[in-house]
Amino acid sequence: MLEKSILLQRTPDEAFRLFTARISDWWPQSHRPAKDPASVLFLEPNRFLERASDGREIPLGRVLSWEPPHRIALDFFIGTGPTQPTSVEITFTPEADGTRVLVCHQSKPESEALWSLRAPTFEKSWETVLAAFLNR
Amino acid sequence: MHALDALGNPVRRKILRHLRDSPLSVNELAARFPISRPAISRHIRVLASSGLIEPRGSGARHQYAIRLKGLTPVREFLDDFWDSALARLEELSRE
Repeated sequence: MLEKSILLQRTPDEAFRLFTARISDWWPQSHRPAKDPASVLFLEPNRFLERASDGREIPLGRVLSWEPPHRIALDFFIGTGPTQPTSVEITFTPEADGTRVLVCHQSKPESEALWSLRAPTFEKSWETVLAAFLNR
Repeated sequence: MHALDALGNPVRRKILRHLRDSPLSVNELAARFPISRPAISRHIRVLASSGLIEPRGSGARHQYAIRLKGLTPVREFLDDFWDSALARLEELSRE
């Protein structure tokens, strides 16, 4: 499990809206599969996708749960693709004067093999690595 | 393209399997596949841009070889992603 959190000086409601409605403004360019700097992202109750300026739409995940302003649960396609999604849960919790945004990212049974691979494995033997990927 | 996405294609996985034994040129690879040389070239470009293979030599001896460090594990990849994403979210929240 990967856990990342950040404390924003915003109410949960504002933090939730920043995270979702303004996702195009913070989602890193390096992780936009459309490779279009002008693409727009949508994270809404029933869709999570990137739309390139030529109209192409690339699914980034699946929204499993939408509970504003507390929680979002997603199947996440970045890095592993739609057939082997990972699981992301984002929670928004009041803390001090702001809101703690916590991201919990973990594998699902479909992506466990990809998730648990470690760099040294690759260095040690391509045989092992390729076997893991190539024989599926 | 990320290495894991590049690996999502069966032809590219097969190319890697061939390169596992020794570096090969585009022509040598194309001779082993029932698809056109331009198609092989396209797959090679994807593999090279994702860091899974790298060019070796030049001119007539121009070959491609497997790049050992090419496959960053997915967990590390996503770890980096959230670090930069949340840093940007925080910046945005200060506006």
